[in-house]
Amino acid sequence: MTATTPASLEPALLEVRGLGVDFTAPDGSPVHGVRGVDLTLRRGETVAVVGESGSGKSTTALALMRMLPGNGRIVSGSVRLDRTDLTTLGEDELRTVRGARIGMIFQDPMTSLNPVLTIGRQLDEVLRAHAREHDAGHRDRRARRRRAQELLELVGIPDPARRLDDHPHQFSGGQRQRILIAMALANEPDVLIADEPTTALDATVQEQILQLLAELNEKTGTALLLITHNLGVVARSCDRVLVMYGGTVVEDGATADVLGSPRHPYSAGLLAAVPRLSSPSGTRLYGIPGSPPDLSLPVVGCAFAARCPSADAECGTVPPPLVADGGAADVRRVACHHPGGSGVTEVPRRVPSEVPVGAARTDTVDGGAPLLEATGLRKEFGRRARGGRRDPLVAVDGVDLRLDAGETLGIVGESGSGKSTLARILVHAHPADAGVLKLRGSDVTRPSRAALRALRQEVQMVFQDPYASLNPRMTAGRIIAEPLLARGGFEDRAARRRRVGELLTQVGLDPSAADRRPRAFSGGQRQRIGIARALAPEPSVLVCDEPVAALDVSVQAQIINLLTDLQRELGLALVFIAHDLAVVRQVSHRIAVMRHGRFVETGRADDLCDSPREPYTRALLAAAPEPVRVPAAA
Amino acid sequence: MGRYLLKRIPSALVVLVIASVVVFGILRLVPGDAATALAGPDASEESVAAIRRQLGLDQALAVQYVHWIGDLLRGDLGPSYAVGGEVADLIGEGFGATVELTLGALLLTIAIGLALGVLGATSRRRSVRGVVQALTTGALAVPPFVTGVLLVLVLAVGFAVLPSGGRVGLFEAPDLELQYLLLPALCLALPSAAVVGRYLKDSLQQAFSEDYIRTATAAGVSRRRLLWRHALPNALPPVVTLIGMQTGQLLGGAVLVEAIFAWPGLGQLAETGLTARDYPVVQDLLLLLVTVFVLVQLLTDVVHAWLDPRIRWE
Ligand SMILES: Nc1ncnc2c1ncn2[C@@H]1O[C@H](COP(=O)(O)OP(=O)(O)O)[C@@H](O)[C@H]1O
Ligand code: SF4
Ligand SMILES: [Mg+2]
Repeated sequence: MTATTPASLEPALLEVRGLGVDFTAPDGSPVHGVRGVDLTLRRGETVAVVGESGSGKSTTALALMRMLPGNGRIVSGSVRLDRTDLTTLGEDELRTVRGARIGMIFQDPMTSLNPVLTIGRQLDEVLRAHAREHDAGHRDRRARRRRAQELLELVGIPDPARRLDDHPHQFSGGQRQRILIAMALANEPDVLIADEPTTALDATVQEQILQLLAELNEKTGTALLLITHNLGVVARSCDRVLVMYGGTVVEDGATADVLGSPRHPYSAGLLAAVPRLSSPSGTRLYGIPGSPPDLSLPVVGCAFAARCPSADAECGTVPPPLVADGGAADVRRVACHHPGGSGVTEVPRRVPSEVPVGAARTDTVDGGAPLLEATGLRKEFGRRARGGRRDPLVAVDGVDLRLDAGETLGIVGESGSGKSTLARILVHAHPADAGVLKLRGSDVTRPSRAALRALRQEVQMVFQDPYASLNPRMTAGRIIAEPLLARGGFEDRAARRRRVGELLTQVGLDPSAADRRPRAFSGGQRQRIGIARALAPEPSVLVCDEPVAALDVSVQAQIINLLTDLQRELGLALVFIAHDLAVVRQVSHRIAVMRHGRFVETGRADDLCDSPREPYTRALLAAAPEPVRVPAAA
Repeated sequence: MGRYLLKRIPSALVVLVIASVVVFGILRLVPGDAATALAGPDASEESVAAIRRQLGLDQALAVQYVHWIGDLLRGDLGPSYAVGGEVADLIGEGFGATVELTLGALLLTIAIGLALGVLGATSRRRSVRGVVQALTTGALAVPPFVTGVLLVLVLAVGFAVLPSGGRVGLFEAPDLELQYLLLPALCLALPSAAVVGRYLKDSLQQAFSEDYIRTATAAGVSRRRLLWRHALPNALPPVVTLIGMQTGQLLGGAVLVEAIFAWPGLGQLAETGLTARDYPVVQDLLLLLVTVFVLVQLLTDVVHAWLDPRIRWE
């Protein structure tokens, strides 16, 4: 094989050329999910694939394994593993590749293990699948069990001999992902494809899993293709990065180069949209304007043209090929007519918000009574331990907080730390078991029925999952009108419609969106609808529980900016719950760090991030991945 | 597992007690009482009253109920009023035949249901899936007495390969008995097999779309093992519950099918007993059926829990 890459002496292990995948939509029309993807992976290398959701990352990975869903098929290109073209293999030959040459792990460890089989059985199945061609020793059941035990040990499951007989539900999410990694590595594949392996996990667990993958890559020499939308993860663990947009690769190069000085306008935008832990509170986030291309339509010219600040006439007609950028052979490749073009360098600049941090607070409070004040909030959930003894789970354990009008209180903590339970107490979705909750100085801990109705309007909530929290049968207009009806004063249809239109405009949607149902909207648009619904009763407090956790970075920035704008316009008090410290720092005036139902540390956002007092806060800060070590100026 | 079973038993007992009260009560609510029926159409008031007193039917209902249950618990089913003979013997005769028919049908239900479900969910040939679809729809749409008559006409009358009705007894002539059993059992089993098959097909298709199947596929597990070792263990627990419920249906359906195939089971006894207002026969019979039904449910739950570790661990 002629080395097309003078920069590396290592020949390509996996070589994808011009890969195209079409899906058949339910109405029979084709969707071009992946278009002309080029990708090279060398032995032992770690390569990241990044890009917003729908950019074709998962489809590419599934196509490599020839595991596309029934309505998808490879329409062009080749996938060569050493010399063999996988696109032409039959089912039986493919089986000898899957697991043995290429292993794969997926996003959701909670559903990726078989719930009715023990871990030992599942590892055994994987080992015996390749016993014939791979390792004759694995034909013996006891040998397989020994190997399974070794594997669990390798991925860091304590007490592996005993745990082999446990079922998946007896393991935590992080442990399940470890087990899945063990299964993928069981037959020592040359390539491990990991499709968003940490997205469903807590920050600190994410960190551990990534560390494990890096270690295994070093120890076993398995090449890693890591799909992620987290640029921080990329910076930390990958040699090279591929940026995908609209079903194709738009930039490919060494991680430090691509993240340090992106050449494609989309890469630059994506990078600019990532909140940085080092940016002070109040920094305005950059969001890429517009929305991703519709892949059911043929793409004329550059797919990014509609959102690109450097687009010109050529971009609208001639598709830019992925070619070497600059002189340095093809170490760095970009698909753009104007790489590093004029618009790009200006875009990523962060605009400090007009209102200085903290200023909004001091002047709004009259007489010092906070808008919302809680002391000693506590909530237990009944739980029965082994032997029938009652062993209550204390979800919220003595929380004190105060919130002024126009102020944002960020709450960070891992899942299970009690954040959502606290949120539900604050919005009166369920009562506290102990403690006092005051709104404008009056006690609302145990409100009467009538008072409760009024309270629920005064304090509104925005949820994490915009998909699950909107009724799919209702139009956006109905969804937003519902709280208006409950509140009264909008019995007249025309008045209601007008108000819904106003609210939609306020959250950056067109009033005509009122007639469409949730399915017709993208994730970010749905979250806007959720926010409009929360604003409808004109609340004074907005509690947002992980409002951007399900969204892409570029969209995340738009939603966060919307929330901060609304806050300033309407003088709202915000409680902003998230696990991503960087996001929380930028939107919050003050931050509370929550753990085991308690606030372990509270303080002004910048003080807490720059000089944390508690070890736990320091651990959280250390676990937050930064995309690039940016030069001090930001 | 023993613990799990113990926890189920109290509720099963409650169901039995309630069932006994309902069975007892319903029979007394049906117009016409045993004494009048026994005495005949021309009997005088006095002789009816005498019979009533003799059978203890003049006592308060609660007292009658307590007597009945008391006797049952002692294992004394007593004589029948009208059918003739001891209730225990009457039921004993028919019960064996009905259980045999029900079990035969159950085996066929499981075998046919499994085949339909697996083929329907996994066959790569469209024609096979089509045939499975047609068979399930057909078996569900046509009531057992129609299938019964058709089967008799074709296999017993037309080709004369199987007997059209009657029973010789399993222990007397097992091979012959199986021939006698096949038609009524098949006729009884078809609708249940279709229900089970369709449910299993859906359940398997669901399992095949789950993430853990994707995991196993990516690890190189063969199609055959994906089906039998990965998808089926997940699809099966709810199907087992369904089969348990179908067993109750089969038991009820047996009574009907018995009439078509002249199968000497409990169906015939129930009919005679009911017409004659023979309280002991009908009461004991119904309670027996309920007991069997409850036991089947209990067994189903245990098997379900055994198959699904998440339930065992609760
Ligand atoms: N099963 C499918 N049927 C139809 N379209 C699909 C299917 N899976 C993915 N697509 C389309 O293919 C494109 C790429 O999706 P995907 O590979 O999942 O992106 P990513 O993993 O980057 O989020 C999207 O436009 C998506 O709508
Ligand atoms: S400059 Fe042109 S080719 Fe390059 S990304 Fe923008 S629109 Fe595409
Ligand atoms: Mg994906």
